[in-house]
Amino acid sequence: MIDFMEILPGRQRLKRVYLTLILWFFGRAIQAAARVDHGVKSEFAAMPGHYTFCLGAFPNGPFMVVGKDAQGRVRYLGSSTANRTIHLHLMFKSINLLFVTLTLQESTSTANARDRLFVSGDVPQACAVVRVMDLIQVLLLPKFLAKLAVKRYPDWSLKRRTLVRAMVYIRAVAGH
Amino acid sequence: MTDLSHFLCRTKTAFGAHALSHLPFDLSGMDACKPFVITDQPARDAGLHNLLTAAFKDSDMALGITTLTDFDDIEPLYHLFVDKGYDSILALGTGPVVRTAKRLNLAVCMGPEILRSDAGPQQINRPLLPLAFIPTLPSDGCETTMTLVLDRFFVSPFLSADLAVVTPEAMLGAPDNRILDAGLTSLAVCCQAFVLSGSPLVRPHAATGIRLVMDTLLPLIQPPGQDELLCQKAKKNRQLPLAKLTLASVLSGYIRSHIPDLNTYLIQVSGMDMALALIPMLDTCKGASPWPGKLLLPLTDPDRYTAVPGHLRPEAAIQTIQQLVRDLSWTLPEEVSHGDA
Amino acid sequence: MEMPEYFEFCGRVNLVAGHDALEQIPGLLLSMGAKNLMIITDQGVSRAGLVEILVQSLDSRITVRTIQDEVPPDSDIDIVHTLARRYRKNTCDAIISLGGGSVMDTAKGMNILVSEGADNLRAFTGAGVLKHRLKPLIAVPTTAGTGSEVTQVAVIADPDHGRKLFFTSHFLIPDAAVIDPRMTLTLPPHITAATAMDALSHAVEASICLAENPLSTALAHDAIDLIRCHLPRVVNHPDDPAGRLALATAAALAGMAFSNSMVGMVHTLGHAVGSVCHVPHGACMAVLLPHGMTYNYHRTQTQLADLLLPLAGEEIFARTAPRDRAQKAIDQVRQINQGLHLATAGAHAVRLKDITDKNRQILVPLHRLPEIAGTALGDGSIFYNPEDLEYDDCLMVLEAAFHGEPLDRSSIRKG
Ligand SMILES: [Fe+2]
Repeated sequence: MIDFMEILPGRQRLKRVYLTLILWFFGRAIQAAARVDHGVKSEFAAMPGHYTFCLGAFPNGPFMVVGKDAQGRVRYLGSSTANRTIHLHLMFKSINLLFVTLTLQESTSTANARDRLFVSGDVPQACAVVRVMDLIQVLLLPKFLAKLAVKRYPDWSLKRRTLVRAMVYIRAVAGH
Repeated sequence: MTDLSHFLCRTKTAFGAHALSHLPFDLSGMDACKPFVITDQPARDAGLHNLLTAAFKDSDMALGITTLTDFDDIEPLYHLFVDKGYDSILALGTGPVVRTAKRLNLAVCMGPEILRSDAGPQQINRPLLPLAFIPTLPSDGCETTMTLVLDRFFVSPFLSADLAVVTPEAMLGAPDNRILDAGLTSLAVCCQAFVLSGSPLVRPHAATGIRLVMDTLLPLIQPPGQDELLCQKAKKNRQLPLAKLTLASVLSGYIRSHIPDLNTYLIQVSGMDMALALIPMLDTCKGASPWPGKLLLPLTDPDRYTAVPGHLRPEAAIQTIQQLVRDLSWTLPEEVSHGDA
Repeated sequence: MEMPEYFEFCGRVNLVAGHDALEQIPGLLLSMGAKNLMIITDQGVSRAGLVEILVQSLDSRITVRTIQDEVPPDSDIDIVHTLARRYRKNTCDAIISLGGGSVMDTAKGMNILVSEGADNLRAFTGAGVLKHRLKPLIAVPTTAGTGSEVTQVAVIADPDHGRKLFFTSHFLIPDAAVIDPRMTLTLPPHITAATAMDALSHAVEASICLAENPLSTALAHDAIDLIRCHLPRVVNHPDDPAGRLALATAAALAGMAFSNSMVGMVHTLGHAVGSVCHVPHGACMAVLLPHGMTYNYHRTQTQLADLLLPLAGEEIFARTAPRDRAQKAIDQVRQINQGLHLATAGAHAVRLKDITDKNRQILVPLHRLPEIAGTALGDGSIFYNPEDLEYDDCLMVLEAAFHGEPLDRSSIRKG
């Protein structure tokens, strides 16, 4: 007689709720920062028109989809990848690993160095998206937390540290 | 450099925190989506299979988990595996679990007849199903070799696991003599391979194994003291050094077959006996090549290594091993330590 | 010993090294059930007579179906597609790639197509796309530098779309890398020097960048040790087979190290210089390596100090006080460069402004540095560099490398 059991591991509901929320806010913050922060604006300006990228967890998300349309407007496009052409995927290898990074236990570059994520799409754009993510984290997080997320905390002007940051917050919450 | 050398290790090594969370991605990268988990009673009792279940959440992969009690009869496993359409094997445990996994893999891919003792010689020259090995204890390294010893001897790179996933969270506690045995066996295998193998790839693997053992073995064996709270803490703190020592075992398995025949008698023994047999072996070949001297570098550190004049290094390497053996004997209770050490 | 919290290491290649290593190829092919060969190489290798040496080392059990020697210096998608058609037409069942990085990448790309039964290579970029073993591929390097005979990546240009295609998969690692000194014996000194510095930069970056791990570092240290012991002699005595074997072995070890722990800013900037100004990769590496080490000094002092032993040997290591070792390691790389500069009568450049083509034309003019810095920001290796790099930082390092002035450590912005 052998001892055998079949298990369908199921979902991580709590982690999923947390990550969906964070990614939702992150996506809206990207949209906001692309309008008010010159650093984020110029990263997007260099990207091709009509460009969509997705950050998420392999294989079932959650995801965050952000796109730049032909007019150059950057929009948060929601949490679904269905029925969209996505030019660039930044995917963590599992929902657990995405959770580790989005709880600041590991910075994006550390996660990258530890083989936690993979990229499909053109490398120059992937580099730009990672830089945007770093900028957003600096904009959204207090210094002591942002320092965990980026390699080098930037030396920004007073205006960028206060006014721009406030505008990103307000717009991200309001959804403009 | 010798005239011709070759080395192949098909196994990808993954080490550290959250390692199991990489497994679903790695399996899907090998076109597998229905893993069959083989584990043993100690791992099951410690609930280690729950770690796997947690790591596979949100992956859409179902796990079939079987706990081995009878390691000889794989027929029921074979039928279960084939009937339910599994496509990969996760071996969570130590030697016997991996042996069973390799046998099952052979049976599924080459037909069950291959395991019969009257089957003719077989060439295994194509990949078998994806096999990942998740150790739960340091060992003698037999799990990560490219061989399978039944009543016949199978050898092929394709027999080795595709993945060895060493993670502190999967480490079981173990009695000191077991850790000692594993550590010294790994050390002796790595030292022999370092000195005797001609392959430039074997040496860095061996050196890494030696460093890992030298870093972890003695602290792991030393008694933690009486305080219960301290003991609890010490137990928790053992996970990482145990995983490092296990990594040394894994590496020693990769290079084991690169120890020339000359010294295979060393492979017949293990643990303290093997470490003790290593010393005369090093002594015999210390004039023959620079490697016994260079062994001092991974055994100690760059400062100690460069402080010893070149011609004295083989002796210093031997003394370092002797010292380790002595220190270990002191820390162990009488019945485990070898009085003759 | 320092361990990263998590690392992966995969060196799934049969490394066969030795003075008669080529003679092992028939056995290797047969053990993989293959015997109908396509040999992929380039004009330079072909003209140097290396194809003949390779073919003579085979025996009657192996049939060479076709020899393709048209791989251009930068592999592109057209040649990959062409070769895949010829592979099928000649009903081959295995591939030998004989050459440097471009030939290796072309062969890897073609192997994807012929193994997957596909016609368009563009469909296979990105991670996790390849899920099965490819056709048997044996890599025989003819330079001792790139290490691509053991790596899991291929980079292939797609000129129609103005981009580079990146392929990464464990399945791209060749089945065997056959290291035979006869294949590198005829390399001229300045190419030997540049390619060895490429290998050295792989080893150094593999041990100091963010994905460093104990196995990669151990391989890297051994590679550096071999380069230190053999490079000076081989540059002066190019026909030294033992030295050639050692250098080619070092390149493979360093290749396996960086295939697992990746490279950083030396390659970030080097790739950019290469693609903007069409400078050979090894020449860029030699110039940029000491600057990359200096830029990361404050984050990697321990690793740099550990590099001193293989870089300088035991005497210098023992003589140097522990706190000076990291800087000494950087000085040592400068000294190796300087030695090569002298030994090659100046052909081995130590400043960007001294890199010239065969007609003595300057390849990297000062006014292109801003463009190079901009290009560098799009190179994936930038994320593996310990310290952050923005446009201004890239430009600062490039300017220092241009004039050959060591970076001022106090001017580096530290995170
Ligand atoms: Fe390179």
